[in-house]
Amino acid sequence: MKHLANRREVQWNLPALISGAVLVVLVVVNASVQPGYFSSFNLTSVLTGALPLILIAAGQFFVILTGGIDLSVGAVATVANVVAAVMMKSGVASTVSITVLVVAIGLACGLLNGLGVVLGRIQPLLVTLATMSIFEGVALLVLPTPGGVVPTGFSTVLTGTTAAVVILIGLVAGWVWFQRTPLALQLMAVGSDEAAAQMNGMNVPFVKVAAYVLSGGFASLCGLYLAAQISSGDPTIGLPYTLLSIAAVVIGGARLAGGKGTLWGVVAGGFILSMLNSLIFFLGVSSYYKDLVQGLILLVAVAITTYRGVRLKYFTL
Amino acid sequence: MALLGCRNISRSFGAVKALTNVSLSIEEGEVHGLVGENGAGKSTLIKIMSGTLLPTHGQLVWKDQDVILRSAAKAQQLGVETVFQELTLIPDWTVADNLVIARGIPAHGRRQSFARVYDEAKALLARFQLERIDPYQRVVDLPLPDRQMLEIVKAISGKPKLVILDEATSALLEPQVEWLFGHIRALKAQGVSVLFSSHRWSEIAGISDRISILRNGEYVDTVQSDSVDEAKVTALMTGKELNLVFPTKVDPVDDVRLSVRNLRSMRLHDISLEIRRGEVLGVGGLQGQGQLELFLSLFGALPYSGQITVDGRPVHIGRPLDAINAGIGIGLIPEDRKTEGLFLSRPILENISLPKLRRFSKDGFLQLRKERAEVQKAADLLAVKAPSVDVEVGHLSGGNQQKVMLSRWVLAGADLLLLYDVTRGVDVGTKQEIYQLIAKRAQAGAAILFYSSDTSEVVNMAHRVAVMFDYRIRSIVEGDAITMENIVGLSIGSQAEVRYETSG
Repeated sequence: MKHLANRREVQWNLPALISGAVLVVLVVVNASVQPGYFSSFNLTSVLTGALPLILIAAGQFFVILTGGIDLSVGAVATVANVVAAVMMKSGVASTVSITVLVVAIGLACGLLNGLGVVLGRIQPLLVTLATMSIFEGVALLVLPTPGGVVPTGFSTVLTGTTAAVVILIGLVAGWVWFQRTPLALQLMAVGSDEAAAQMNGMNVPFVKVAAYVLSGGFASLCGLYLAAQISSGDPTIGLPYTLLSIAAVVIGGARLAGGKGTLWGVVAGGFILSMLNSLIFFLGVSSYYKDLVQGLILLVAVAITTYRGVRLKYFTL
Repeated sequence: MALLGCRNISRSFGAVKALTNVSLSIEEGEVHGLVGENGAGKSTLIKIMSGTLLPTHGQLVWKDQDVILRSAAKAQQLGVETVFQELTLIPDWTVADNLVIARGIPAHGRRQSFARVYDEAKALLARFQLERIDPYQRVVDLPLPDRQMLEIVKAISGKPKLVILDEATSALLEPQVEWLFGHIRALKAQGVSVLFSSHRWSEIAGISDRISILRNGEYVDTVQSDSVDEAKVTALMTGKELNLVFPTKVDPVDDVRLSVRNLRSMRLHDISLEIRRGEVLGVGGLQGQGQLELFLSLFGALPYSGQITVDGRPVHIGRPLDAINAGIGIGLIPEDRKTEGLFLSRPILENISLPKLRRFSKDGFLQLRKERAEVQKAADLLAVKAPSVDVEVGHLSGGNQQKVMLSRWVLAGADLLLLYDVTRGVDVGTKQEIYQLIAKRAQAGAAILFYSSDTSEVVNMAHRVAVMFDYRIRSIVEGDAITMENIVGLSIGSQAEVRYETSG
């Protein structure tokens, strides 16, 4: 534990700590304007409201860690959402098998992105811009208009307090474990300096593909969770999540150029963005201001995470 | 027995032949120097020997067995560890992660505990007298020499049979080079072989048992290091009997072009100096004694206080734009031309005309013909060797890139030139040309501040030499007092009290 709490760890995670502090401020502000904020009902809704963004941002996080970007996450979430809405029937067997199928589809979408980046040697931005369009098209073919239905049991369980807490704890605990695995270190190494990673004998293409596969997987989890929330499918549901996922990662203190970041930061970033929305709603501000405020917050976050004090290059010599 | 041998190794990149039919061998337990001008193929050969590049033809031989090194990992398995010119530490990893697990990752895919990695790194750093480096520090936050030393530690700690050091000393200061040499001798005592390449002859001569020479991608010879001197090896490297010829110094005019009084910056102390028209003022001293800060302050790239006078007029240079401006006319050749001076992916034309685009503009449009004609004239004046000014600067040799930088300032009318290590990474032939060009600029009335990491250049080029120590000017040496012995003596801390007679 002595080593985990090391001074330097704290120092590098400064951006994540800042977003943690911002989160605390937001909770306080929200609590002061919303009566009964700390009621269990409201806390559940805060939690479940943030979860889709947190899930999708977690996937985006792995890609950004390698120095890439995944513009297709929203579309993958949409595909997952509509497939679940169309195919999932009542009963444990169907629910489980369709969930597995949907996650497999998400992973496959990620694999496609990863292979495009690695084999096609195309810039991640371009690959995922193209696949975004493709996946959106597929979603429209599966379900042209909002509709379909997911089993009530699926909805009730997932949107309940227990499931939400379990998912969140699972994410954080998973990160604690994952952080010191070879793959985690390699993801950061590739994002930090790809050439150096290669010189150290790392399998750079494999690492990159793994990041996109993880991203696709998490995006499909987001789509499933959205299906549970609205109890049906919607072929445009994932659309806003692409940019929000990038925003959550950056607000969480990860470096957009790769190599640096933590999942706690991303979780905090997801909560910040989603709580901001509810704050705007409760303050009676027109929801038209939502995007505007989110954009401003993003600017401030980027300014904080990239600011390194007045340090001229030459004084570090 | 030969440990690693090259048999008729060739390597081409497209139509360009980087190596042709090179055969040499490294014996067990020897320190083998590798020298050659830039472009002689040293780096290509080292990449092939370290497994990061495959030869087009030819065969590597490891202990009398033919081997194919398909990857750096494969070479490491055999026991070949390489310190590359490009640093291979992961910037965002900690020192500990870089030293302990970077190489271990492909081998065992298990989780790494913070504590174990920390303890191992700490022990390793202690073994190499680097206790002052915190294992938890991120590599990106370390100064360049420390990173280079960690790179060396990492390579040696892999229990190698052969250590390849590719220009590993270029970022090191003198005591750190001694540290490295101590470890090279220790390796040698254990029967480990070392392949050592450097641009500094004193280092090659000081540590190598044998020296192999490459020229234009071809193997020239391998010689016993105690049987040769610098002139002999330089002749082998260039293929010509060539001693460095410096231009004769012509007395400067009396007008003071630049006068600096009590210049201070974050680290500089009370720098005062004058440069006259036609004068080359050399800057001497060990590396890192404030020379870089002085140059950057004068160019407006670092904040300073104190008085700067140009042609008798007090000026304030708050940013490079002020320095370049007419009336001041300062041009800087920076330490790293590739990142601080040139736009590598743009043509020579734009690289030269950029600071003075306004001169070619009329009604908001560029007069392309005029721009081209004047750029061509400047490039010709400085003998830039290229088929046309439309060639990308990144395709030029180091020497030609420096000439492009000089052309830029000539075109901009900058006749107060700050030349920071202008011949770094430039081959011997082009160095001579650059010396002549500098002398010519001085004779045309330019005032020149000249720093070089090669003290002999400073001695032979400068009319006066300001020796810096600990961010101050310790002494300004003139005339016959400008000798290697004096300058080196003044550069070293222990002789602080020595006063040299100055003539003139």
